[in-house]
Amino acid sequence: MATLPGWLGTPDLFFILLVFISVRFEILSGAILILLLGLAMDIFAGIFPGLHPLIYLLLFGLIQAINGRLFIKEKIYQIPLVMACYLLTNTACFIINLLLGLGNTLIWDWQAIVQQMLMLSILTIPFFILFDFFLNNQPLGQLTTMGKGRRGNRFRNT
Amino acid sequence: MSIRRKKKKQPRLKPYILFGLSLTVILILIVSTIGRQQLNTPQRLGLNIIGHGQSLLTRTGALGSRIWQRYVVLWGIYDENIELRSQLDASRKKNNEFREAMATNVQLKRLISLKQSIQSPTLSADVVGRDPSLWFRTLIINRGSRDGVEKGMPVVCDRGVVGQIFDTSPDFAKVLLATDPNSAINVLVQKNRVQGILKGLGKEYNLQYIMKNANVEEGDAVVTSGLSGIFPKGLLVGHVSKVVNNKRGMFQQITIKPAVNFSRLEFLVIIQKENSLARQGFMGKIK
Repeated sequence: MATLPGWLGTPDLFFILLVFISVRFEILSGAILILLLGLAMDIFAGIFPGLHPLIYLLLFGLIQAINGRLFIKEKIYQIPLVMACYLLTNTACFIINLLLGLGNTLIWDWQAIVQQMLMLSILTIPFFILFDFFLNNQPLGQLTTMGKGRRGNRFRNT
Repeated sequence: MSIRRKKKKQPRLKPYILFGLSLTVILILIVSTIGRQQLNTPQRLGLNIIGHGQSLLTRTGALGSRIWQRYVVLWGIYDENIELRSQLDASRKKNNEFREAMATNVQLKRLISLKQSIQSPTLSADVVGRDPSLWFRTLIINRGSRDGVEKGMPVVCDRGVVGQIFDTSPDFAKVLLATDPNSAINVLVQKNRVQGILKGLGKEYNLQYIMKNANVEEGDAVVTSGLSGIFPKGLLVGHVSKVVNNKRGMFQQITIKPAVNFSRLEFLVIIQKENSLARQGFMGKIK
């Protein structure tokens, strides 16, 4: 297979996994999993140990808070959630980096961030379906029926 | 009886006369043709008829030949095609392998010449991982403390400075690239020996603390100064790509384009310290 062109960039699939865990898991199990993933990420990326667990736990808390108040659970609505969370996570990373590395010149790369957000918006649904398949054995064919779940007033209890 | 005998003895002249006449006509025709050097009317008619016949025969033959060449002979071509395609794939694969081997060979040659040019002991390493985040620039290499790698050791490649060892495990090490915002290297502008500090900007460098009266221009080479004791003196870091002189402040704002293409790093050289404790242990193990 031919290599993808460099300008396409590399999608941050790990971030989709983080949001998926934050959306689907219970608080305790989700927090432990997120913490472990953050600690693992510290090994591969960055130079400030503890930065990733901290940011990921903040992200987890934020998504749990938002998700608990949202009545719409369809996968299609996870796209803006993932995009907004990616932007917030990078903002947090930027601020913490600025505080830890005083005197360093950090450049906010809008192009890379927007490119990543667009890629995530495309890949969120397929990967949510894939993760759901592994987590709950939900069928993979939901891609064609996304957003067509409940009709009428979905907020009505009865 | 005598009459009958007479009749029997009479020679038959008719065939001879006919033959003679025909021969005469033919001779006349031949002679007349040779003389005029062109066909007469019956010959032309004959030629026309024969020509049509020959043309028909030739076309039929050509059609048959075409059918044979294009269809009948091609009956086995499908298998041959599959065979040739598989051969082509194998050749392409081999070609790729040769190209890869050649490219690796060129890189390794450069690396060897670099290692020979460095006085301190060196260690080669392969890149095994890259930092996926947007905010840091680090690499993971396949050499660790067991090989004598220590924190702070400079890492270079055939093009120039790459970074320095940030952390180690027994078999792997993390390299902080020179383009990381947390990296700082003592450098000097090669042409006028003006010293400054090189800070990472993510994709390029920022050369800091260069006074405004220093003559720095685009294209000037920037090399390590050797002052910090980490990097040997004279290793290429990059070239000046932009110089801005603000009205305020004492220093120039200088941007440096890295000499190294950080997205294509494969083979690296770690410059070890002569008196490194880890290296002594490593050499002890070898002995």
